Amino acid sequence: MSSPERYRVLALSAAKHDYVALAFKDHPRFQVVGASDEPSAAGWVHECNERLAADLGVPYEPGVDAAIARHRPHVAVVSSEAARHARLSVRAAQAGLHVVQDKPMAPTVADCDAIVEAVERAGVRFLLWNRNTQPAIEEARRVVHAGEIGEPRAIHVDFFFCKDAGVLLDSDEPEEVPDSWLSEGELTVEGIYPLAYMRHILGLDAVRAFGRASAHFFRRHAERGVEDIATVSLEMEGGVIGSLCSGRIGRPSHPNIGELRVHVVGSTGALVIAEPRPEVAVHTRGLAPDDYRNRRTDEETDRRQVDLLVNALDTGGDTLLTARQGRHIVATVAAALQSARTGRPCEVTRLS
Amino acid sequence: MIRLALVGCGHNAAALAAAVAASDHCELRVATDLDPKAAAALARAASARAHVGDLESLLESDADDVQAVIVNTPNDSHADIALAAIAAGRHVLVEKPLALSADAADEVRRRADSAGVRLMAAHTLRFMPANVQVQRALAAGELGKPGMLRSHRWLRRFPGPPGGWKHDRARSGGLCIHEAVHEIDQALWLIGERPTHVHALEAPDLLQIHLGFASGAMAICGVATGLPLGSGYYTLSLIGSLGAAYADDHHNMHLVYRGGRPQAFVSDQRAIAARAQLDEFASAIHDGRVPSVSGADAVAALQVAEAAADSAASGQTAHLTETGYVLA
Repeated sequence: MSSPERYRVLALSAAKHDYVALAFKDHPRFQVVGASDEPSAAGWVHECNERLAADLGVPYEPGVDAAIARHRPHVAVVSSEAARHARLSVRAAQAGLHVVQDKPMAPTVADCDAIVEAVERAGVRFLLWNRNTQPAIEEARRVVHAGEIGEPRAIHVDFFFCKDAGVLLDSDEPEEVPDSWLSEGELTVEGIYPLAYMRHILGLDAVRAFGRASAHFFRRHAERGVEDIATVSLEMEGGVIGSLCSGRIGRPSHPNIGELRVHVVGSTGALVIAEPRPEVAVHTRGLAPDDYRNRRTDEETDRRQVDLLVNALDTGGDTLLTARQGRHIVATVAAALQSARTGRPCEVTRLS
Repeated sequence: MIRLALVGCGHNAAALAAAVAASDHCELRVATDLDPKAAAALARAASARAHVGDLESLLESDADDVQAVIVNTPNDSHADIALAAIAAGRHVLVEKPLALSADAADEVRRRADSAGVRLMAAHTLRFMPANVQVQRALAAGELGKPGMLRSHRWLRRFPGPPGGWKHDRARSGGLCIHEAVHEIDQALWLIGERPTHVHALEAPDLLQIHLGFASGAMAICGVATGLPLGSGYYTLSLIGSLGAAYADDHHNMHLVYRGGRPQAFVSDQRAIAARAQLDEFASAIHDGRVPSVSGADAVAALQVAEAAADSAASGQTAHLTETGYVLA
């Protein structure tokens, strides 16, 4: 079957982020045709969706089945609250749509299994949105795959977001973040990025995890029983040792979005990269305390991810991060958090 | 000036002698080694006197000339040499590890306490200029409550022939005891607690130690010892509730252009650390106080290092108790 000249895209919720759907705007091989969501979604979600629709210049029509029937899209872009990811993605796949989905893939491994099953049964492509097209990550992958540092032996990723999550644990101040703020746990939500780096750079999966996790800084995280920082040790395929440090560590902790770095130790060498670099430091009068001082020089990473998706759709090949790979990442996070609760290393479950 | 004897003139001896020479508080009087050539070479370079033979004879014959001893021999001789020096009433600075086991280290600590001499283990990372700044920021409350420590140290492949003592686990103690005891001491120092959980993964030339603390703080420390000659890299991040500190060669690289691609390098902080460590030892002797890296600190680090070694060997996690640890 020949590929369409332009794939029609339906945005299914922008409760979490708008940037995933916006990456398809004005792309020569995609046409965003509409935005939709479940009518039962919260009021604030409908407001997010309306803003996204306005930015995309498309109508917002609650009612997913009706929107699919009306627009006959090829691709669904899902960025709802994590709890609705599986429901929306499975629904889209069952309707024969390729799926591009925001992180985390789903709150549970069972939800991810349902997505994998639906995607594979329908024979559609699935892309879990990621950061693997950052230039530094691509360069690290190239160096490793070219054998420039020999056989990989160990990999470490620091993935810190220098944002606040309301007031600190020991603060007497009233809570700053609204109740609608999702705060689903930092490793749970953001763990996809460093684990996807490892998968992308080495092509290896984790088989066993030891984790520590703590609501160490922010009251909202503690109240909800989710982690704001986590450390994970990984036994990976091929005897490679992996580790990651992750967390939401507070706005004052970094001049930029955060410390995002990768170490790889090989049998004949090693590499250290910073995901944001190259970057330019810009310091001016009038910057607010929350404004970043450093600016990335590459603005095409999301577009490259979309370009790679085009190739997968045209050829029927794998996307940059498939449903099975995304599912394994969620299983790795689940093993790490289970380990943090029990104090013992946990096996990462595999999908048969 | 504290008058010193350096015991062991092999690996690292030149750096130690240089640190002594740079110090305003110490002088090297004697260099001693079982190898006459090594002792003579170092003595010549350091303008000291060479001594070949057993340590007891040196300490007896130089009672007024040597106040303190630096132990820089293979790991399996640290405790015995330290005990001999303590028995002779000398203060002792011992290269890490203080001993091959926590129990042996604790015996050295108890003897030093009983003899009233100063005992210090060379946990040099505490004196790295960048780490000093991190600890000061933490102690001043600028970083708030410590939550996460991450450190990596990459070293060139152990020098010397494959049959050398560093390659012999029975003599070196293996990676946990020989190298990672540095990282463990650093973590205990900065987090300020004894861990409750120790989980380690080891592969040839690689070690990763994961520590969990009762406060909820956590640490991951990695050591690699198989890099090509000439390589070396050090990086540490400490995340606190009010801020973060990054002590990192990556951020502090300089570039040099001399044809071909630009080459990155970092100023050598180890020489500064070695001198600062020596000055702290001399100051503790002079003031009659416990050094900032105490014998108890060295014992605590070795207890965790032993737990890490067992964790790595068993694939299980060491759960620390009041008196030891259990694997589960």
